[in-house]
Amino acid sequence: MSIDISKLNTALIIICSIVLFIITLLIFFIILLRKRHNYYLKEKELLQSRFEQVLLQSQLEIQEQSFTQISTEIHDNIGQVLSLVRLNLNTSGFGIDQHKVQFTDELLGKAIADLRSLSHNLNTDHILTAGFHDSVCFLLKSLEQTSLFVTSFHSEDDLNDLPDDKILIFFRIVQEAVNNIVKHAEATKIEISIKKNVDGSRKICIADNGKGMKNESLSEGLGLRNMNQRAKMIGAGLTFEKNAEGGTTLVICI
Amino acid sequence: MNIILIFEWIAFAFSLFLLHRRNDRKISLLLVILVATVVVEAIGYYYHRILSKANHQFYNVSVPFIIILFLLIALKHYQKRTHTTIILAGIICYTLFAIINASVIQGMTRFCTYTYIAGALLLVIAIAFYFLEVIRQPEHVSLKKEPMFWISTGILILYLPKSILYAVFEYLAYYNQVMESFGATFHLVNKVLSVIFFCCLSYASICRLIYRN
Repeated sequence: MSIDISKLNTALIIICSIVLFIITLLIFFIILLRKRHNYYLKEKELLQSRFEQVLLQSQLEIQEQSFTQISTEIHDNIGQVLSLVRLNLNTSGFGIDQHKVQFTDELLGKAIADLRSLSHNLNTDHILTAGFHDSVCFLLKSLEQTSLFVTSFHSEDDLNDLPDDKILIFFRIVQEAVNNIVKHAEATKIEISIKKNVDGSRKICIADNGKGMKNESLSEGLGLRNMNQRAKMIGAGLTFEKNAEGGTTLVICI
Repeated sequence: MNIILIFEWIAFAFSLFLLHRRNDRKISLLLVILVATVVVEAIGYYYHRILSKANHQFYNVSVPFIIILFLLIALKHYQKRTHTTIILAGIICYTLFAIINASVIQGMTRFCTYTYIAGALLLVIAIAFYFLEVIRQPEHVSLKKEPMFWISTGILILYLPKSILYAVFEYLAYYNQVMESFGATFHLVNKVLSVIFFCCLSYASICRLIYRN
């Protein structure tokens, strides 16, 4: 068997070149496929995120509608009934212990005032008409009336330039945070402050002098989850910090 | 100095100083591979050029060792159990085959081409599995900063054409005259492929560093 050496060498080089070319093509093909797959994954994530946003928006709208409905019911129905009870009690005849009547009247007065306050806090239109600043003042005032808390509110910005839905979400976050302090913190002092930074960003701090938060409680609870979801919806950052008094400071940045 | 040795040392230096061993634990064996390559090449060079002695015995040990290390790197990247099992079984069979080939079939006095070809085939299968997984991976993967992708590319480029050359070489080994001339072609192709291979390994060591942000 005779072999032409030069032809064999040429053939070998050609074969190697072809193999090399095929490998290069294969590598480009894999890179292309992976890029397309990455693009598809990105699109999927975007759709998922949009879907979650719409879902969250719907949830919050339903919640706001429920709040408004409850608020209307409290104001128009229960409030009216209690007012009638108070009227009837005051116009009832003699023979009833007047001290008891007076005491009951005071209790009814307090119940009516509390319900009105609750009704205002729940009513979306009322919050938007009053504005963020006044609504927070009203919320803190109603807390001070219980004589259990000392509150303060310092604001460098009234947030009036923000759209209505953002103001409402902000207020709901503050409301939830205050509610958490009342329920869990065992605090006597609540401080709310709004600062405006040079870059236009805002920082809302809600501080208490309570017992502080445990790390594990950060991942628990519907209230905290709602706050996080609301903050996510308006692109705000939400962090909990331990303050000098041993309590917790909730910082909302937008 | 031999150009392959220069690129080999560059790849070794990159993997020694620039490979993020904390971030790239899966490819930490790359350094061992390059150490083995550099040591064997140095000994081989010394034996062949200075002592004018045959150096096949060193390559007969180092080639299967390096191929097994590459297979182990590929193993670490698999997510499918089937792929791991197949390659693990392949490693065991290949080790046995390499020992039998070196001791009984081709012996230690010449280069064990069968071991090289079998190892290259196993590597191609392992890389095919890796490519299949990397294409289908459900998370976002950027191939330009994926070291294993570049190692696989280098392996394919070096081992596949070289195993074809060895197969032809074995077929024509009977003709001594052909072997001598064929040697020149082989060295030329080997030089080009090795340079590309070590470039790929060097890039694999530094790709995470380049795109760390």
